[in-house]
Amino acid sequence: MKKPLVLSLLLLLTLPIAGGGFITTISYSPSVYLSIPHFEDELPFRTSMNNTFIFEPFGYETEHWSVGTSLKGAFVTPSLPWGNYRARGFSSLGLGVRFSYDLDERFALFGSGGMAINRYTAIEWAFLSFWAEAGIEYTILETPNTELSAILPITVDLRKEITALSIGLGLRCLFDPYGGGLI
Amino acid sequence: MKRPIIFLLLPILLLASCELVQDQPLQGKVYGVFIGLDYDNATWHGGEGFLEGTLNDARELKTAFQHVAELADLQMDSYLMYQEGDTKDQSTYEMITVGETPIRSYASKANLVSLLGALANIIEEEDFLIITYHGHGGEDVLVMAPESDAEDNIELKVAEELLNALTPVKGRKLVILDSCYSGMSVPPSESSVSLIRSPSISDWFNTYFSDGSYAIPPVTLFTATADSKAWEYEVKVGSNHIHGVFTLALLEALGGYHDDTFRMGDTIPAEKNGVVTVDSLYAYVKEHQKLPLRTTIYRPASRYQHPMTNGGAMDFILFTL
Repeated sequence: MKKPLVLSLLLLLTLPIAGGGFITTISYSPSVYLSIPHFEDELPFRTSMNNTFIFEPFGYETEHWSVGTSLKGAFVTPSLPWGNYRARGFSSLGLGVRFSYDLDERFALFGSGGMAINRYTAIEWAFLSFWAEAGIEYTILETPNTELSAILPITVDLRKEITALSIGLGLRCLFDPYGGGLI
Repeated sequence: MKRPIIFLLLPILLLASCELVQDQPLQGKVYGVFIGLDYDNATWHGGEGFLEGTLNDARELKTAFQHVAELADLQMDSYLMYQEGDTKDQSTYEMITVGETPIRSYASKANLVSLLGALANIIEEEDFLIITYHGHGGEDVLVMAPESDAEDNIELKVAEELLNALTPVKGRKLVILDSCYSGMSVPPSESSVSLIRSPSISDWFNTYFSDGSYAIPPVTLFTATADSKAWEYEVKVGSNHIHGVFTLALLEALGGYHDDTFRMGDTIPAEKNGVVTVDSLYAYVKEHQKLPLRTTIYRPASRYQHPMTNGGAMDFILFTL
């Protein structure tokens, strides 16, 4: 299990250096965070707000696809107060891998997945979670060395006691840090 | 492009309104049991002796919770169970009536069990019970008042006895413990790890992949310390008015303050977005208590205490204001 993972990460790190097409991106997407409990609760799901920041320091891009490692930070608010309980807010720090495929000059599909450590905002308890994400990306602006896109990510957060669905709208900035020009 | 976005946003709007479209569940009555002991009559002193602030803690917390319940338009019935002075003569303690059951307010183990039994008969599903305890404690143990000189069965085991006695009580239940090592009664969570208990990396993974499943705890615990001693503190230097460090911060969180006497203010500092929750009280106590949370190599402290509560996904809403 460990070997393919290490090899994939090494490949991701070495590809940009070897062949150019090295990209770095940052993105921000606010979203609605719906917590669907696996336990007995008063509501079928609870609603929170989620602010997600993603930094991809090492990305590699070809004409139609790109791949990169991502560092994800998220801040989920407590859910709207309802009844006797509310879902706790938490902050999250995760590592993952992201792929995207260009459908045409403007549109692209993307997917990502990874693992995160999360800490409840008010209390000192923490938990592990895994996430998977898919979405559409639309390029708004393009210069030789930068790109600005609108993204529509749909994320599934797999927590022990909750499966959360997060749907948002955000922005993604893509840079060519070496100035060789984006492909 | 517009159509798919609208189709994607429509379910968000529909789904997001779950809390907004459903009627709030019925709020019932609040019941409070406030227990304070000074151990002046005990042969057992746990090496610590007489406690000066515990009766102030219980009495003033009773006032504070009653005040917040009033602000939340909830009816509250409060019972003070205490032990004060050097007598073991229970006839000097007044009777309290729960439903139709008369119980002596002397804070012995037997009287507390009787009180909880009587409460089980009157508390309904929509009601809410708060129990606070201010006294000596040990690892998962509270120390109640002796009924006679010969009595040595004064230890009340939290998990085995207190929480068991609460099982037949319907409704939501909060137990607040201001005593040494009280956080050791907080059970581990099936879904999260306590950062105060210094989890290892394998603890994180084991918790995630374990078979145990999370459930909202039947009794929420909120304690003064995680795994250390709990201390008392003089409200103002020279005032001779003592409180537990934890309870003093908790009183402030609920809007209480001390000038010449104890009073309740107009605002509830722990209120966040119209609700007072266990987490909002916890956050307030953590930030405002008079002792540091821990001792470190950079900030060594001989006295410190860290509050503790149950882990897991859900926060307990106590009052909606």
